[in-house]
Amino acid sequence: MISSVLTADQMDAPVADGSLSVQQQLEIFLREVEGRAYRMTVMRIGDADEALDIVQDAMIRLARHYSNRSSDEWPPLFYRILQNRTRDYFRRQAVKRRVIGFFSRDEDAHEDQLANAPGPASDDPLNELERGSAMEALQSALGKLPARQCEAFTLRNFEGLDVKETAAAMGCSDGSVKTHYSRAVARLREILGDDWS
Amino acid sequence: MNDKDHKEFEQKTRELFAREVAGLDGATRSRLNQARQRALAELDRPAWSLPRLPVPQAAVAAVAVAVVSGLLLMRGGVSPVEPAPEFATASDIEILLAEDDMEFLEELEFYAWLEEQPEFADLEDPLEGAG
Repeated sequence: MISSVLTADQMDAPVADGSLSVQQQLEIFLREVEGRAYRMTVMRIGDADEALDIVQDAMIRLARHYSNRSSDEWPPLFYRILQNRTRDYFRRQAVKRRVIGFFSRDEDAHEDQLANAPGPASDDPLNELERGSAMEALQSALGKLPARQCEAFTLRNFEGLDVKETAAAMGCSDGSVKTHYSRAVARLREILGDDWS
Repeated sequence: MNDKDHKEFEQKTRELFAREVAGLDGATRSRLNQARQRALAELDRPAWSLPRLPVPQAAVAAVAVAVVSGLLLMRGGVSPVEPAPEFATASDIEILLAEDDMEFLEELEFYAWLEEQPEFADLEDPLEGAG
């Protein structure tokens, strides 16, 4: 069995030279993306434990189903899986709310939460700005975006995927990515204001 | 809003996010490492092996179907003028079956019993807002 623990030299070796096994390449890739994937997921759903489960699930699915694909395909594939798992989380939450609302006969509980893609619990972004927490304000603002705009923004801006990779991850066209992204930037700037810093 | 302003905004958000990632605590990094190792272990599994399912998967499925079916029957008999439940679609049942949270499914049985108690008929759901 090939050890999954890489030496420092192996970690520094360029992937393109073909000297690394698939397992080693995959470990390098996962080690590189895991922190960003986790942080992005926490920003989307507001639950650290669930975010860890979602990221782990995405890693396992990538390894199980796509490790035989070219490593160039791993970023959009991984984030496609991550987005799907995140949407599954929102769907489960929506179903739970509907079931609980069924017993309370509360009409508001039947509202479809998926369309609104509830983000992390957030205060008024302006209040968070006053506390000097730019990141908290940004997270709050991201939580107010429609799901697709939030996905496009985080994948393009935080993960650094290009338009084509983002389109593959989101399962949409290049044009849709550009539209979602530009709208996300405009809306975020509108929410955060010119004084955001 | 011009492109230059947009680019400055984008750059600032990237820097903030990068700092957040760099600041992840040790416990989180450890859990991410464990997750990564579990994923890498998938490469050692033979291609013919069966997918791993949680042990109580059959029990979870039976409970979910029984409770949801029971709710439909009960609901229909208690108040015929109320609208049919919206949640019991095939996709909802699939989602519930995919849910491996036994505690949540066990709570469904409790609420089904609660629904039958006349003294609790007007009480608000105790879990309202806890989600």
